[in-house]
Order: sequence, then structure tokens, then C-alpha cells
Amino acid sequence: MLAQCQQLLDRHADLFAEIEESASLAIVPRARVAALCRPVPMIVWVREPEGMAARAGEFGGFKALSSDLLLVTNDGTLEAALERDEPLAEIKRQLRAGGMLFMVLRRKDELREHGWEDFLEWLGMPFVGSCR
Amino acid sequence: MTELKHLFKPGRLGRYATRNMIKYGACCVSNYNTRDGFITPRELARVRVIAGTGCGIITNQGAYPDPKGEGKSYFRQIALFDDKFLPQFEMIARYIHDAGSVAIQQILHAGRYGGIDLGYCMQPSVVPQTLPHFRPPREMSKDDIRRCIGEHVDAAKRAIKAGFDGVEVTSFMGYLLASFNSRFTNQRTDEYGGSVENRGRFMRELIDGVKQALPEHPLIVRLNGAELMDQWGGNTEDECFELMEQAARAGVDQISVTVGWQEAPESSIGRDVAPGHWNYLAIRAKKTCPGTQIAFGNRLPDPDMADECIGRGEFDVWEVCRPLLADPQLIHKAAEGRLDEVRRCIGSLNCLSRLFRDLPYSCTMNPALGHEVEPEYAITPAAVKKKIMVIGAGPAGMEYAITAAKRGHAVTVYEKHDRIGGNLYAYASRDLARPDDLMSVVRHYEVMAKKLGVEMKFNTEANAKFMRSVLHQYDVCIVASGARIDMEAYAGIEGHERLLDALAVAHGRVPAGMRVVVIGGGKIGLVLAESLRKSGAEVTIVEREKRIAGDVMPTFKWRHTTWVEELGIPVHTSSRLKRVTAEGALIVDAKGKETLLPADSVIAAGPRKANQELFTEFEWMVDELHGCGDALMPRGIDAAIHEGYRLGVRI
Ligand SMILES: Cc1cc2nc3c(=O)[nH]c(=O)nc-3n(C[C@H](O)[C@H](O)[C@H](O)COP(=O)(O)O)c2cc1C
Ligand code: SF4
Repeated sequence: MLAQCQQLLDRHADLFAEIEESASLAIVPRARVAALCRPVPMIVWVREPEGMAARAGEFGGFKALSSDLLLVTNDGTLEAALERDEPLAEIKRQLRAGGMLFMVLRRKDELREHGWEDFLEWLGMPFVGSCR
Repeated sequence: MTELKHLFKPGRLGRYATRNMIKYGACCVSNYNTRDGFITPRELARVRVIAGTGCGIITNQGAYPDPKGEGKSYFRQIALFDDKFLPQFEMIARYIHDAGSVAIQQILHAGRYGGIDLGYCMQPSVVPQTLPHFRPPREMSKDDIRRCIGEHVDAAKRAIKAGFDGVEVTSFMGYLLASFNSRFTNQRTDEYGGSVENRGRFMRELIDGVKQALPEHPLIVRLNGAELMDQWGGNTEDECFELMEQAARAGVDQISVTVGWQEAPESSIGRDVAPGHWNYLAIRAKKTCPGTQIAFGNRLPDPDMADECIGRGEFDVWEVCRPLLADPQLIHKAAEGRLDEVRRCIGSLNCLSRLFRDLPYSCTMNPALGHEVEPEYAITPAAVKKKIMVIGAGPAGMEYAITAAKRGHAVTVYEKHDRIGGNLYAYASRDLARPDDLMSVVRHYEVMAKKLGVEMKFNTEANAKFMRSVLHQYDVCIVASGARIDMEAYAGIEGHERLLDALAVAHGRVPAGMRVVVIGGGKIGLVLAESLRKSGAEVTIVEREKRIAGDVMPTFKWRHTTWVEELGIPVHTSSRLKRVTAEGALIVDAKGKETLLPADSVIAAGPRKANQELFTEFEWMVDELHGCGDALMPRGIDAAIHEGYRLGVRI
């Protein structure tokens, strides 16, 4: 999965161009999400000097997480998305269909400062409130 | 005489008689007030208009009940945590009573969406936000819960002291009580978490607290019939109705049934939701809580429909919000059989978009909304009656024309084509959301032009020669000639003569083929691309910027990007047109990579250019020359209507 994530990140490098170094997004299956827990494996998309990298990490609960964003995935949804021709488009579709969910661990201005605006807007997440 | 007999029959709320079955829903968080919660003259003038809507029950906007502002969700929301706020509440209660309605004060602790001035918000459990706009949560202790109930009771008592007849508490939308009710946000393990019974405990205790303190006064609770959060682990509809039953058992006098959370991935009140879509929730509420009055109105803008629903026993009270922002005279027009004159809410959500940008709310269809305190925005008889010509029958020209006619001017509109509406007509007829909403604007102008005696001259192109033929016949000329696609911007591009004009295609004046490339992913390009795709063409969008939908209202951007995806329309962003050939469009991206997109039609949907030439041509031909709408600068329907109106009340 890491290799597939890396492909996705490389393909959409422009969406992550503004991300500050070491800012990251964690991906954890919904069944494992808790405020605090014994460490379980997670995937991290982190900005490194050469660009975005997909790495393996450990999730000890969102209270202990240093990432800016947490992508919570229902069973099999990430794997299925990464198999698609357009994995990021599928992630976007899953976010709308409820198969995935973003948890925001920083304030709006911090996310903006860390460079996430393009990516989040591309995914269709309104930066301001969304009364629809 | 009205035929809407169910809507206009008298009713009751607790011990109070109501003159009809219509409730002005709390639809007035306005951002007109001071940062520290005091009601301003601007708000008071607005509430006078609300009081005059003719609703049997009128709810005043949600006030936050706590001194810290943990419940405060909007930048300039009103507060009710201290007697110092009472004088203005007293005035509002008086306005509502003077107009013959029952006055309800809403108490709005926003919970998850609160703490706007603080670095946190209060929640049953720490479940991070899903939208960056809101503050990180803090878990409420049992002491916090008790304090919060006390603050609600005090605020309710204060509202009654100010002269209100009853209060409404908010347990919907993800606000505080709703987040205790919901499985998504309530992960507590004490008696306030776990089962539905436990999750609803805070709400029941709060209802009980207010009821005990004010047994004589009606208490209303707003509850979700559907959270639309179930895919994310929120309540199912069954659970929502269990909670509704709990509220009914706790003794509320009315349940207001609503839909959706701020964070819900689905629309609940947007233009893409058909009127009447959510009625089934009201029907279920009536069945679930047979002894409690049910109010409902979400996305049910039509008095005829509401009347029928009440007649069929689907709910008891029609709770209206945005339709009364768009036209505060709606109820009177309905009562007098003048529904054809109504300015319908078109679901643009300009009102809410502005609130979330911390701006005062305004309404696309009602340019005077929020300016009631300013006499300059009122339509008053003109001191000097003038003969006025308007060039262009789009929204700016027509809004100007009917406003000027109401003031007593003699108005003639000259239109190049054969109908009212300008480019809005093309846009509306191709809209995937609900063409009827936008078309209602065109119909409104048709009806009002006729009723007000505005003379319409179609198929007349205004130019210098034409102007010479009417020389000295008019005192004023209003240029409302709109905007066009700037085809000259492509003059340097090889094959540019093959390009089609998006507006000509949208109006049906030029046919497009079955393999189409649309240059420009703004609102014109998107609407055209979506409608062509829907009718079977293969469509590709090319956009210069990094993202499409740059000129689309913030609350509707996601809708277009989703349609584009659902319809399978490929999008090339950061790309521009290099050449048009018989084979298609050659485009180049930011890195210089060229791609040939095969097409039989290449359509230019931007940039837009204001049709301003008439300003120079007419300068020496008429006494007063003014302009409004896209003819000044290409924007959209909102600016067109507002400018047309502002000019109309002034000239
Ligand atoms: C500008 C605006 C302000 C609102 N303010 C409140 C409010 O103060 N309290 C509340 O419970 N709902 C508020 N609402 C929600 C409405 O009461 C209503 O539930 C929603 O607009 C759907 O009904 P409609 O389709 O008739 O507009 C507001 C809505 C709008 C558009
Ligand atoms: S701004 Fe739009 S959605 Fe809001 S009330 Fe006016 S027309 Fe309706």
C-alpha cells in the first residue's frame, strides 16, 4: 500500500506543493481510531525535503498524534481506492459517500499555514462551514 | 380571498392562540449585532420586517446563553446571559406582539460549532472536527452539564421577562444537545453516553429544567429527523425518532423537525434538493409523537404544498425560513391570492455563505434585507417622475425597471432578443440542480413588468443609430447590457475562428457537436459542460487556473466538482488553449506538455467582458446615463439584482 500511496502522491505533487516540511496526514482504519490507544500501524503522508512521502507509522490515538489531519477509512475502502485508475478521485468519492472521513486536528489558520488548502479544496472539503 | 384554508386556520401553541399555522423559523442569525452580543438598530429594523410577515408564531434568532461564549457560533451573534441585554429583547417581543403574533425566543448553544471567539468548543467527548472552520473540542464534565442547564434556564426566564411568550431550544444540526444525542460525537461511558436513552439524558434534563422553571410557557425543541451523519457513525433515522419521542415525553409543546448537520456530506437545503424531499420525516414525526405539535418546513418553499401537507395531516405548522428572507410579503401575497407576485427563494445559499465568512447575511433575491434601517433602501415615490429607458432585460435591467416603475417612473425596456432573462435564461434552462428555481426569477420579472406597466420592446438592438431615433424621448438611460464571452482574447490563437461562443451555445443559437472541449471551468463553462454531457456529448473541460469553479458561490463549488466527477467529465487544470484545428483543441499545461483533445466543437466559456460600449456611444445623447450589473463588470445574479435595485431606489 505504501508504494501505491507514493504513486498517488507523486502523481498529484502539485496539490501538495505548498505543504510545509514535516507536516503530515495520518491514515487509520475506523475500527482502530480512538482518543488514546496502544500503538497500531498507520500510514503517514509526510512532507520531506524532496516532496511528499508515504511512510509507515504508529498510531497511539488522535490525542497523541502530531499529524495535521487524520483520514479515517472504513474496512477495505483505502485498498479499493488505491487499486483504481484515479485513486484520489475515489478517495474524494468515498469521503462523500461516507466510506472515509477526515478528522481535523489543527485550526483552520494552521492548516492553511501548513499548506493543506489546495489539497482539501480539491477533495471538496469546504474550508469554511458547509450549510448545504 | 385565500384558498389555503389549512395554512390560514387559527391554531394554538400551549396556552396561546395563533392566527394561522405558519411559523417564522429561527432564520435570522444575522451577524448584524455587536461582537459582545448586544442587539443593534440594524437588527431591530430587520426584526420589524420579520414581525410584519404575518406568521402566527415568530421565532427570534438564536441567542447564546453563557457568559464565556462557548455557545457562540456566529461572529456577531446575540447573547442572553445577562439582564443587560434585555432592553432590545423587550423591543423585539413588543414588535412581534404588536403585529399579532406569538413571540418565541430561541436559545442556541452551538456546542461543536461554538466557541467562535475561544480556542475550543464544548463537546460530550473529544471527537475531532471534520471541518477546519470549527474549534477543537473539549469534553464537558458533569459540572459543566449542570452549569449549562442552569444557563439555559436563566436565559429562558430572561426571555419571558422580556415579554416573549415561549422559548425554543436547539437539539439539531450538531449543536450542543444534538452532539450529546448523536453516536458520532457522544462516546461517553457515564450516564450521559452509551444507549440512546443515556445520550438523550442531557436534552431531557434541560427540557425538564426549563419546563419546571416556566410551566406556563410553551417550550419548543428543534430536533433532527435525520442527521445525515449515519455513514460516519452518527444516529440512524430510527435513533433520531427515538430521541424525538424522548423530547415529547419530557413535555415539550412543539417539535420542530429539521434535517442535517453542518458536517453532513450530503445537501439538505441546497438547490439540488427538491422541494418536499424531506416531508417524510415530518410525517414520521407526526406518527411517532401524536400528542405533540409538529412544525416543519425545511426545503418546502411553496405555500400551496405546505397547505396540502397540513391538510393531509403530515405536520401541524409550516415553519418557514428562507422563502421569507427572499420575500417578506410571501404570507400576505398567499393570503391575497397573489402568489404569482412572490419573489421565490432560489436556494442560492448566499445568506449562509456570508454568515460563515463572518459577514452580515444578505439575500440574492431581496436586496433590501439587512438595510431596513437605511431609508435609502426603501422604495419611495419619486419626487420627479421621469421617462426612463433600460437597455437589456436581464436581471439587472429588469430589477431596475420594476423598482423604478414602483416609484412612479415611466419605464421602457429594450431587449436585443425576444424574451426577458438575458443570460440567466440560458443558465437556468441548463442548470442541473433545479432549473425551476432560477427560472422563477425570469417569471417574476415577466409578471411584475406586466403588472407595473413596464413597456417591453423585444428584438431591438440598442446602438448609436437606434439612440438617434429616440433622441430626446427619455430623461434617463440605464445600460444593463450584461457581459459577453471575450472572443477577442483568442485572436492570437491559431484556428480561433473555429471557436464557438459558450453563451450562443447555451442559448441554443449555435449547435454543439457530440465531442466537445469547453475552454474555461468557471460557472458558465461548468453549467454548459454538464448539460451537454447530460444530453450525451463527450465533454472535456480546460481551465487555466489550478482549480475549477473559481467564480462559483462557496457553498456550491462542491456541487459542480461532484457533478463533473459523476458525469465523467475529464478536467485539465493549469492548462491553456494553444491551437484549434479540425481535429480538436491542442492544449498546453503548466509544464509545457502539449495534448490534443479530439473534438468537433471547441467552445470558449471565458473570459467574460462587460458590454460597456454603449456608455461611450450614448454619452452625449441623453440627460442621465447610468449602468448596473454585468455591464459594469462581469459577476453574477446577486450583483445584478442588487445593483439594479440600488439604482432603482435612487434615480
Ligand atoms: C440566514 C439563516 C439564518 C438562520 N438562523 C437560524 C437560527 O438562528 N436558528 C436556527 O435554529 N436555525 C437557523 N437557520 C436555519 C433555518 O431555521 C431553517 O431550518 C433552514 O433554513 C431550512 O429551512 P428553509 O428551507 O425554509 O430555509 C438559519 C438559516 C438561514 C438561511
Ligand atoms: S440568499 Fe438565496 S438561499 Fe438565501 S434566502 Fe436568499 S435566495 Fe434563498
